[in-house]
Amino acid sequence: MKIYLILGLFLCATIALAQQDTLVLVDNLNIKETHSQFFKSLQERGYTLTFKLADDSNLVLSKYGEYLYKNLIVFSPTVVEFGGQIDTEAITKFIDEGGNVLIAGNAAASDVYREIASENGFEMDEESAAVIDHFNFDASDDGDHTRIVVSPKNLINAPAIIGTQNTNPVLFEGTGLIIDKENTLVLPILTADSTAYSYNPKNQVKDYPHAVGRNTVLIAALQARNNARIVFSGSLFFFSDEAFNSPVSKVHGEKLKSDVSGNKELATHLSAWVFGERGRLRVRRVDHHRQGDNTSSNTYTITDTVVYRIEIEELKNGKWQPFEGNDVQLEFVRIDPFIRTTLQRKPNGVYEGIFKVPDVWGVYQFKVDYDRVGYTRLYHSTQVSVRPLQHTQYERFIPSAYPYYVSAFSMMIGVYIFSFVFLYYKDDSPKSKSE
Amino acid sequence: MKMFDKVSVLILCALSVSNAILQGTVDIKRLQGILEEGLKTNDVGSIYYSLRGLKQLNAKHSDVCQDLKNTKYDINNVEQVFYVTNAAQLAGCQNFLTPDVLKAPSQTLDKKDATVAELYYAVYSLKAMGKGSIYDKEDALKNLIQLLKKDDSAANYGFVFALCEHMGCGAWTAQHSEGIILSADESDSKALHFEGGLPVTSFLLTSILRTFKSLKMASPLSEEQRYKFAAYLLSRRSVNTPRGAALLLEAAYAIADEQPTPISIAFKDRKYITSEVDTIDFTVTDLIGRPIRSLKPEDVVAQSGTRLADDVVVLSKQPLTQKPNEPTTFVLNLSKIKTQYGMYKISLAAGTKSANFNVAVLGEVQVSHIEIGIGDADGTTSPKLTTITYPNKLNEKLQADHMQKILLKYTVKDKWNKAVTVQQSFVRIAPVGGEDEAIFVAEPDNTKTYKVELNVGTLSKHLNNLSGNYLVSVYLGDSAVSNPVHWDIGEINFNFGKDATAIGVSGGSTKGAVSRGPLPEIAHQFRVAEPRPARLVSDVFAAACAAPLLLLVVLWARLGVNCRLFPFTPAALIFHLGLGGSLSLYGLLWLKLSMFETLRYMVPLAAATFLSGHSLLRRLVSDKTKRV
Repeated sequence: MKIYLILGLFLCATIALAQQDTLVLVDNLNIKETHSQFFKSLQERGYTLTFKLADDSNLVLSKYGEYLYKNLIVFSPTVVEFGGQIDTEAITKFIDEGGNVLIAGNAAASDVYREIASENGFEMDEESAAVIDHFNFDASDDGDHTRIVVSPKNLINAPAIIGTQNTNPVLFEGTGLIIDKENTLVLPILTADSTAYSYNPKNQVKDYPHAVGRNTVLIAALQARNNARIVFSGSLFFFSDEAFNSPVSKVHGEKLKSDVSGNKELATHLSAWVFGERGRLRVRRVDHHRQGDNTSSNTYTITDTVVYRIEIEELKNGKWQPFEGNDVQLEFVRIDPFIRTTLQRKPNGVYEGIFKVPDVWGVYQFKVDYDRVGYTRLYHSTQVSVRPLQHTQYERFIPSAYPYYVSAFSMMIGVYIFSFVFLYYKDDSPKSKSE
Repeated sequence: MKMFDKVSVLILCALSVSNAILQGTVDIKRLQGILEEGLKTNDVGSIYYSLRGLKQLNAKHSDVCQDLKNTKYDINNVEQVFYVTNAAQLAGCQNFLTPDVLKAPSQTLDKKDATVAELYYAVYSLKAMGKGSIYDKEDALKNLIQLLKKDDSAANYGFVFALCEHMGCGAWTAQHSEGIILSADESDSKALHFEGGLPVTSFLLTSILRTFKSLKMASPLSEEQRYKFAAYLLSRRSVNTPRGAALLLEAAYAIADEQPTPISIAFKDRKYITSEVDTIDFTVTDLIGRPIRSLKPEDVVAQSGTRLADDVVVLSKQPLTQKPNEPTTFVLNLSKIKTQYGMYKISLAAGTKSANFNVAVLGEVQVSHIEIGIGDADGTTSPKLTTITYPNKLNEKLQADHMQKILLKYTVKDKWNKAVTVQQSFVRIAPVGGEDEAIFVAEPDNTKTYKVELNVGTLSKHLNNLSGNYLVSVYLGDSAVSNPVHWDIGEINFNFGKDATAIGVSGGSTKGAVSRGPLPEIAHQFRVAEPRPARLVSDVFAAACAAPLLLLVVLWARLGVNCRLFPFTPAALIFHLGLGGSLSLYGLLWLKLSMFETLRYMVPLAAATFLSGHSLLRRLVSDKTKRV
């Protein structure tokens, strides 16, 4: 038993290690230095970063059908075409097979970026278009008003992705993204203010800009149905040391000021989320039984009271710890859900639901489908059969039926007594004759 | 199209002019702060580099001898020993270290397969403790060259050059450094650096330049290379480790001490002028912010200035004036162009080198009034325009339905009341207190009057088809505008016709087709029990059903029944017990037994009852015939 445990632990450790292999594609190796703090924070968290030039002719993502990397970072906006075996198709396949991708571009990003973006449900604005905000630009701006200050209020409300302590305004300089609001898998992590728009800063606005106002998404994320995660930032500058260290002071309007920008905090949280350090859930144990019983059963009778328990764990700081949420729901489904109830949170990540099985028999499923923004989708179903009452399980003493009971028993008693009288009655008539 | 041509020409221009002059300096103060912080850590590497950097700056530092003694390091790791011994040398406290720190370096020197880096650490550790010069020069150099053949990375050359400084083989360095400098990587044809980043670049540059200086030879760097290395160092100025800071400082000083030193020009604070302040301050310094002695103040000239929007040349050969008492600050007076808003490209020259700077001439814009009106979409009636003056709001709420259109008209003027165009001239319509918004671009006509016509019917699909109150605002902004205007004009009540729902009514919104939040709970509706008669009624009827039996018993008692013929034989007893048993078994079946259990009990009971009943009846019949 112990050996198995140790083996298991060892396996976990190797899996954890394997998850940290990350390929970083850059335009030039200078980026390694201009973005050193971001890369350093990744390395401190245990990622093995392999830096490659994006047009390196020996680039490979997989060998013999096995992926060499779990994560991919693309920080190479100027690349026209990736080298080696990497292209949009290879990256899409990588995502389809569960790989995580972090991409950052800028206003000069090439069409490869647009292709990758559209494969993932985003749309990137045209080349040389940048997000401009004449009302919210930073004092360090170069004159085009493209280095904009974004208030933390514009962040998505999802602590699982962005953490809880984003209070400093962030700096952004790059192109805008457009997302389809109908697509619930795509999340706008950071959006611009109403006053912003995405356009070529050198031109007069002639056509309607592709992204205007709050529809301009600065950083977008996608969690695919296979739980692969993609973060697409319109700005490579966002991750740079310069942005991490620089103070923020807005030129116009309300005085948003801060000694240091919130970029580092947000970038760290985003990278932790995109590479699956956070927001990952798993089911540890599921147990269901009739109330009062100890053993589990896969057959229930209609109107039984059933206790369902599910233990959910969340990955926190590299360890699986009890998950704390209060909106986990259980469905009891026979084609359609008959019962949907919110489970009660108990200590140690256990969620419990007690309910009465419907009075309709058939084959049912206990279903927990927990799909929340920022978390991996948790789906668990167990099939059980629900049968009707046995003939002995019906109600026995019905007051309204007392006349029937009494009739039956009075007849039986009558027969019994009558049998004596009928068989052994001795007629006294001869006596009376003699009288 | 014309516009587009101009832009492409501009882009080409920007590409062809290389920024020969550096734009920016290395911030010594910030780096010194990092180094001083580094002294307080207990990592030997950080302390060493902090001391090294501070020595370069000739800055005073606290006494670190005690700290050095207390730091933990691996005595067998030659790199860490190198840090400790050299830090001790820099701090002047070699006596604080025990002599056995030199065990690892000595062993490294004896090792056959030591790498160049290890040799470097070992030799300099020994040197720091005053035990150098046990190295045979000719042989050693030969060995090093052998090692270089195995791995000829730039970093290794750096170590060999540094070792040569110690061994006195500077000539060899001088011979090979040119090739190494040529092998430096170029990024964007602007900056030069060696493979391995800042540490290698700094290490190579400093040791090569030091060697050449000690040999009293001319610098191996061409002027262009000097500028490019300096540009690389500038791109790395955001370092934040003591190691990076020390290396950056050393390299920056090395480059800045070269003659002629690379010139750096940067904005002192502002990058724009307004109507109030019409001068821009530039700092003209070397890489580390020192004034350039060889540069005559009259050599700093604004060669040309062009407006980016239309390529009009606005100034040429205008000298900058040096600020008194501030030898690094030069002032450019732009009062000539302060009325013409826009972005300008200024080409500044210092000596023979020049660089382009983008300067904004900021001006205020104003909108004195907006005309707003509502008319029929088919144009049968011309809209009645209401005039609102800035910054007031509409007095009354306007009403518009899906058959109508809204018309907005305004002119943007500069400070001198001249109509101008701005890049951003947007009209935003958003529900009052809602999150959605629709933004429209206002386009100027020939007289620079901005005009927006919005058809309410087509507007509805941008606003989720929700009728209700909407706020109309105007945004005016431009990169050359110092006061972007945000003006909430007032509210309009839109009626999008009968297909629309009102704002705030749930179900009307089309967005969020699939929700990812918790779903509404479902409870199962159990079948309701059928109605039953009152207890009293069933009790009365039960009594009525029991009545015949009672009546029978009572009547029999009155008649005086008897059982005198009962034969006290086993057969009679068994028969009646059996019959009674069968009837009770029926009761038990009702109460708790299953059918099969009942049958199991019934079989023997029935058999006994049958046999005994048979014999009883036969006896009774025979008794009767006897009696008759």
